[in-house]
Amino acid sequence: MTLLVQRFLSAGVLMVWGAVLCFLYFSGRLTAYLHPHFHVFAVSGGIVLILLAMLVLVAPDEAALTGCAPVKSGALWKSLLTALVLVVPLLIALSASQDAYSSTTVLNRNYVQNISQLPGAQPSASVQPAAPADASLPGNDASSTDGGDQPEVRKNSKGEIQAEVVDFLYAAQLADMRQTFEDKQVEVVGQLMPAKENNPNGDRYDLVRMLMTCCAADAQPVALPVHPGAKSDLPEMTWVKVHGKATFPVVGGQKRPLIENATIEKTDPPEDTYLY
Amino acid sequence: MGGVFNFRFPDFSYSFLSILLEGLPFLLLGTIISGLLDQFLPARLMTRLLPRNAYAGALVSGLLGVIFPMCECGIVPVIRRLMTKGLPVSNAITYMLAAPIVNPIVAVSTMAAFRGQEPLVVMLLRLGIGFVVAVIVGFVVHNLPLKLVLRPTALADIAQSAGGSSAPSGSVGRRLWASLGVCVSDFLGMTVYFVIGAAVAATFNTAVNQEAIVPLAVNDWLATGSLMGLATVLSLCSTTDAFIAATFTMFPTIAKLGFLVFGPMIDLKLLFIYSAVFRKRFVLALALGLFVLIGLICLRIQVVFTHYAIPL
Repeated sequence: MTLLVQRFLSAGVLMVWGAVLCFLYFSGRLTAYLHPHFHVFAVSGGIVLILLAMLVLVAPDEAALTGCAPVKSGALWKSLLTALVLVVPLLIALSASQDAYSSTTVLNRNYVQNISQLPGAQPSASVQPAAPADASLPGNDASSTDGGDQPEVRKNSKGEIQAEVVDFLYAAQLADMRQTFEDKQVEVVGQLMPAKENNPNGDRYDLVRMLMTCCAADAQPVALPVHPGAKSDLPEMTWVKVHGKATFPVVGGQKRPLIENATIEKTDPPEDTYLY
Repeated sequence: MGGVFNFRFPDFSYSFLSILLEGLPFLLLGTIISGLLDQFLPARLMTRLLPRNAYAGALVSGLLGVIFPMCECGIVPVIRRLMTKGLPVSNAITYMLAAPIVNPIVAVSTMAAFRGQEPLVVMLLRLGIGFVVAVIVGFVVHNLPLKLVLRPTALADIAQSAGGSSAPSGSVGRRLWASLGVCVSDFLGMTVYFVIGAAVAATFNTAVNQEAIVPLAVNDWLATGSLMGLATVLSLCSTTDAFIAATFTMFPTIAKLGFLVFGPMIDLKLLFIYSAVFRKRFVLALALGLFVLIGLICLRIQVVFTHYAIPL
């Protein structure tokens, strides 16, 4: 009897985990949790777990499957405890998670405002630097402008350059890329946060995007300072579209990006809320 | 908001789930390999393949990751099974500590992450220190009584297999069913610890204000210790942790090395996963010993590199 219960408990736990992995993948929610490179592992793991659960249920030989008991001593209460520890936190987390971080966690993680702090990052596909790839290397002098063609850019119907937050961090250090943006009207999407520094009047903001290396647990907020000249009524972490002039003032001896004369309008979150 | 600890449950849940989703497939892979090893790897094959001398065996075990790369989540069930197949415990621990670092995937990812920051030097130092530390631990464990190292259940499994009872037998089909049983048992047993570890890691990496560690970057000793502590808290995968380490631009390279070597050997989730096989006291002693050993090696490297004016 105990072995039978343990067999069902084991199969049940495997089924729940497999179902959660598959549900997140097929519902599209997995994109909020894992870098695309890991999606195939997650869904494969989910399918394998469901198969294992079915195999445990149909296994022909009880003796051959004694290993299915989570605790070999056979104590039923230990098996139940194991099943509870494996299933309850998973399901609670699944229902409590909002598939995104709040401003609390974003503020707990240091903003990245200098591309040298993001060696693994790449400019977005919409804007590619014309300079040789090596010029983007952190620590290299990227002031040279000779030789490079103008980068290709994407524009909206008003003729504003559409770019990602991370592109402006690159542009601050890449002269060729900076030329593309400097003093031009641009459009950027991100989440609105009050500026953490140099904000005595409360009218400066940071446009934040989360950059994921591997999974949401390691995501880092990348911030682009925005100066609209007036306070915004929108709450923290609202998805906004910012239109304004891209500038690169020198702060602390380094060029830093800043969107001046910005207008801020609420917008829908992008299809992929993360940058990679 | 603004203090050192700011907990919010939905954020915790989000981070907790992402750690589980990332690590679980690899843990599952490890347990599947474990089940197959149990039923299809002839007993004592490992002892016949490895050098008879325990110290030479530890040296070879430290390089096994080059041929059999495993991430830190999946390796514990594998070494538990290998120990029942005759792999000496000291060699198993050396393999367990070294394989998540000394493998080609980690070499490539470290080089990629540190481009522009002496990538070759960092990669060679990471793999080299990882190998040396794992071998040293193997040597130490070789001189310890097993009852101080292994949990009684793991010890009993090894003793039982030494009596020949776990030798593969029966038809292939029957052994496949049996390996399913071992796989499921290992998976459930290990995942309990993984869940607890992920919960602790998620608490720290969402609730703790990371600005609190920035002032530590100015001193080599503090910087190295704090980044090793951070590696423990963040519980990152060894194949991708270099991309995070490379972002700590205000920290010296030796501190990042400490992060890159210590993290795959000891982190919060691993502390719990190790506890499925090893005694808690041994796990704590291992964590403390590795912290001191890796920290001292990294600080010594700084002195040597500075002396010979080698850029780091």
